[in-house]
Amino acid sequence: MELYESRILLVDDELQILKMVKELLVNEGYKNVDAASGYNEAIELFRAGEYEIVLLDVMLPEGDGFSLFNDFAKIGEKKNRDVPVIFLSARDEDKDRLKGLGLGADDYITKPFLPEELLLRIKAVLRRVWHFYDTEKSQQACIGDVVVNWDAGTVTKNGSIMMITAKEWALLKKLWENRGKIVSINALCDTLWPDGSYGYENSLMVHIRRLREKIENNPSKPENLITVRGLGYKLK
Amino acid sequence: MRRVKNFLKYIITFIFIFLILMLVDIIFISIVGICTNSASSHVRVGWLSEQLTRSSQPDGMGNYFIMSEEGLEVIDMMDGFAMLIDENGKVCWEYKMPEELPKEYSNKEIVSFTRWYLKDYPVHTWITDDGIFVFGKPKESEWILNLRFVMDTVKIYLAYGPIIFIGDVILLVVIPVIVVRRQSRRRERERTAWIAGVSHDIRTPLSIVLGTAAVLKEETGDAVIVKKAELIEAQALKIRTLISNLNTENKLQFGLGSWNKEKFTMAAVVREVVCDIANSLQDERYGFDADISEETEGFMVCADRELVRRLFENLVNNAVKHNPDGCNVSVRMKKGCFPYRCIIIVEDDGCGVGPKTLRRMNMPMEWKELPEHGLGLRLVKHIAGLYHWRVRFGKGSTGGLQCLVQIA
Repeated sequence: MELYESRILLVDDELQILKMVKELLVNEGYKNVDAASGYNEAIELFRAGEYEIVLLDVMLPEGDGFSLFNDFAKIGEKKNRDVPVIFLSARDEDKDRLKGLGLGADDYITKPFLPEELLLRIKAVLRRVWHFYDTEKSQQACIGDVVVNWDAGTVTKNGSIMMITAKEWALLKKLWENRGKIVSINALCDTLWPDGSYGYENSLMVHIRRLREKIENNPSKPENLITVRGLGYKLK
Repeated sequence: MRRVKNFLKYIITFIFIFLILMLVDIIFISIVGICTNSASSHVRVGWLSEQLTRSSQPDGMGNYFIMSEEGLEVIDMMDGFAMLIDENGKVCWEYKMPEELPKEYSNKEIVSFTRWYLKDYPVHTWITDDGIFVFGKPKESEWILNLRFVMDTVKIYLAYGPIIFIGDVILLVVIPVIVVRRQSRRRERERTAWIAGVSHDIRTPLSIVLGTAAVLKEETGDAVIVKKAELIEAQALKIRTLISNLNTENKLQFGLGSWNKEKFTMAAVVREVVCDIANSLQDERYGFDADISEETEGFMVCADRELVRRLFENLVNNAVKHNPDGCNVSVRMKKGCFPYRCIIIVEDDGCGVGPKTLRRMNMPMEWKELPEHGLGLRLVKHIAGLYHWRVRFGKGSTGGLQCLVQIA
């Protein structure tokens, strides 16, 4: 199944929020979005449907979202289907966030949220839990004249195909996922060396240089992979 | 620790006030005492008795005594009377003695008035060679109090009295402090709950505003509407930051927040903040860069990561907000001088601020002014204060604003 075919259940007592989030998801390309404004309605929909993800408000008129989460878990257990849940709440206290995550939720987003952030977090959970890849990202990427084939781990520049190393692949992937944005040196180091990135800044520069040799026409005057002084790198 | 310090400060202040009040009271009592017990009202009976001498001529009563002019003057001045009682209990000389008083006294009566009153007249006695000299004053002009204690009781009073007094003073000081502090804590909690409640209620509508603006941007093809939607988005984000700052500031101000203590790399947080702001802004008029020295690249701090993030977020956002025509924001991080381990400088090349504003920015925070403006910078100072860091504002090398954060 494709990522955008995921069935999503929204639960919030605020009808305007439901309408707005549904619109956001539909505009993003999600085809199956259901909404429930009450506890019982949510239970009925969840029981009847096969959802890939649930967006759940913590404060509901007939009972709180944490109890609903537990009910979903029980229903999911009967169906043998562990559905990921993202809490969407106006309660931003640490204790609420920890309670939600402690119950086993996959994420906890506090209102007011950035629409883009919400979409990215939903995508991240869907990919992590159901191993989805949206079509755009699962195949190839075009960076200037260069075509990157993620599956093959190759870069095609001026007709010649070059292999990229695992580190270069991870680096390029991270930059591609955040294209147009600056990715900090520390975030890139964390991607390449998740166990502890401190002290790897010079090694990162070496990988960047090698990557530029593969994706830039003139690596000494990069046009695609830009350095932002002292901060990080940006893929145009 | 901070609470204990504040409590001690209150106690010391109260003790200080108490001592000052005691001093003022003692001075007042002394002045009143000196004024009312002046020489004119206090008679030395011994001296007066010496003014009564034997004479060769008998007086009107046939007694051979005479009082000097000075002695009579003093008695008149005091509106008093005087008499001399001989060994047989008879009055052998008197001056202005009230008629109601007897002319003869038994031993029992003499013993009684030497200690108390003579028919309600306060009297002073003095033993002379000729008998007992009595000087009396008008009724209700003196209060006579005879005190007599068993020595053991006096010893106990002397031993425990000061302790009881100090205990009383401490209780007098501590109880009001505790009551006042409790009341103010309750008020602080109510205020925090109120702010949290209001901000909670704003969150949902703000989400709808942000989301609807995003949907509008996505769905419309009209560039003007996109621009307007972006404006709505930007303003909604400002309100979001404001609510967040207000909540944090309130918790910091009244010590009601629970902050984490975690070790993290400062450079990572600084870069993360600048990158996030640059990415969300996406405005070519603003440039961002960082210069982190090699020796501070791995510099770690133990604090609440979110709070520290907020500190730098507010500094960078402040530079953006006050330079609407654009500017370059640079962040430098270098080794500090003792006692500060690291210095972080956030500087812009924008329009800067005047010397008056700069002076105000460097002044300690006070709650005299309502913080509608500059809440972000108040929060910067508060967060820095929480970790004993130092924040100084100054003029940048290109005339913009510079903020120096010294980390201990």
